[in-house]
Amino acid sequence: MRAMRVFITLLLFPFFCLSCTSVSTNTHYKDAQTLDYGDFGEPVSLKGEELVFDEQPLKPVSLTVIDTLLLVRNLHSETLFGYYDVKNGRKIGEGISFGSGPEEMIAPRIVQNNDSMVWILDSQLQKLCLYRIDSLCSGDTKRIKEISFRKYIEDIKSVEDNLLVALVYAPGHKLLTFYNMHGDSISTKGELPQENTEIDPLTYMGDYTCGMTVSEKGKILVAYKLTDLIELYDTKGNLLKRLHGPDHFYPFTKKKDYGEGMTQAAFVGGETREAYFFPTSVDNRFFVLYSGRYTGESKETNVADYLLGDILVFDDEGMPFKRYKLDIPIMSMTVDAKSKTIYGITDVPDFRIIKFRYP
Amino acid sequence: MIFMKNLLLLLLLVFSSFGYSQSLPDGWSISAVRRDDPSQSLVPKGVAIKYETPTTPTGGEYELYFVEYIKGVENKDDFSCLFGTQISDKSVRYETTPDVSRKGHFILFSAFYSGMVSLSHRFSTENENFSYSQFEKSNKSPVNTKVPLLLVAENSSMDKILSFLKRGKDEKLKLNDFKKIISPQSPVEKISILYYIVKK
Repeated sequence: MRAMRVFITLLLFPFFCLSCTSVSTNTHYKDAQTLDYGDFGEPVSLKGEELVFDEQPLKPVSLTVIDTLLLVRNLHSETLFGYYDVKNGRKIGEGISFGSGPEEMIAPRIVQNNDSMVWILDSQLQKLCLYRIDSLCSGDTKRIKEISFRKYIEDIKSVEDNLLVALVYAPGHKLLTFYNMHGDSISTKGELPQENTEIDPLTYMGDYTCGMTVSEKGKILVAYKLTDLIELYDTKGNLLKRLHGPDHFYPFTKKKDYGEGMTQAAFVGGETREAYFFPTSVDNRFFVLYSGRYTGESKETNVADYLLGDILVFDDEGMPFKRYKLDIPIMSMTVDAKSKTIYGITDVPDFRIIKFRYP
Repeated sequence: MIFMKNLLLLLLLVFSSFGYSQSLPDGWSISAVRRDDPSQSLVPKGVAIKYETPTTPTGGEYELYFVEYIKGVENKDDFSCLFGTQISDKSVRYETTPDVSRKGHFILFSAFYSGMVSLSHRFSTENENFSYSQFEKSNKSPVNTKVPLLLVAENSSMDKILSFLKRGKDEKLKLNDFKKIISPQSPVEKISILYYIVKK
């Protein structure tokens, strides 16, 4: 279980970094509108129900729903992914072997899909691969397209034909980096939200770690993990909206020195707060899991930091739309707009996939 | 105890965690694939070696170390433990790629099923190239016993060790060679060993 918690922590915070930042201090964000819980209206309570399959996923850690098909990254299975039909509760198949050989992956994550295709990013092998979903389900792991990158890509999405937008945590890269379909960097754009403060470029890797999703209309939503900040960008990387809230806190990390010039931005128990995770776009709405808790709070509440029970929904213009309260906190999230169902994972008391229907 | 460690600017993680483990692997398998795409700047070049250690879920810890030995003495540091897990599955799987392509610089790239990776480095004081030798497959994993997987040394040291052990360059090392390599009779002062250990 502990190993699992490390893994989950890493899912939420994909890396620690070399950073020169000390304790972060911010006074305000430029061009930001404030956001409060009340802007979402009365919270709607959602009741979770466990999904049962003829062959249960073995330690699921992430999932993607495509109509009635659920693609699940399992930790304890022969292959990296299992495929399940949520309608009839059957396992359809599994695929993609662990490793760095042809057709293998080390750290795969489904980053985007449509009805017939799915993009899978292997951030460690620095590859983005396109698969046909029906081929994957039949055990064929042949890639339709494979794009290699020279930098570590934290997340990447297709925004237009022949245009990808990525989060690249590396010196020289701004918030959003745009690539063509050959893996060539075209431009990098997006500034940190702090005003009048000199920030080490590597601070991106610590204080301003974030997730990203893209709407059908091409709006890019950036959701920060250590400050309750949401940003909306267009496909050129121009900032459209910046929302700070609902708790209005700033990143708080502390430099930790490991010697030999190696330092990391570390969380400080009771000071560092966690914010937005797993942004997902469906039906021109953005769903984001929200924490607002201090790291280490789980010792008192007995609810692990990575299990989150609040979903905040924004519309395509970045306006607050709904707030859902889950009776079973989850990690990872995928949403099917057609059936109005949210799927998530809990590890309490055991690893299970939970579904929530929303109105 | 859980460790999460940063090794490189390039966002590659060393992480280890310790829980309970269990049972004993009674063997492991290895296979190798070629990894030589130069465009993958973060990914070392070389032959990736896959390990799969069967286990029986009865509790215990599995830990993987890459440790330097100086004059036969294990010189552990914060980065020696590459991976640790509570054994709860039928196998522990991972892949390592020894990269000897750089002059005077050895890299061990390790990838684990959880998606974590680690990079370990060794630098030659004489700017000499490194080489490595695999140990033969172990059919047992006795509790609290180091099971060696890989020997890494500078080329001249490796030649001396192989000569001392009377092994050929392409020959796999015997498991009991491990003790000889770190014995006082060993002809070299500094080597590194990749090994795993199952703890109750």
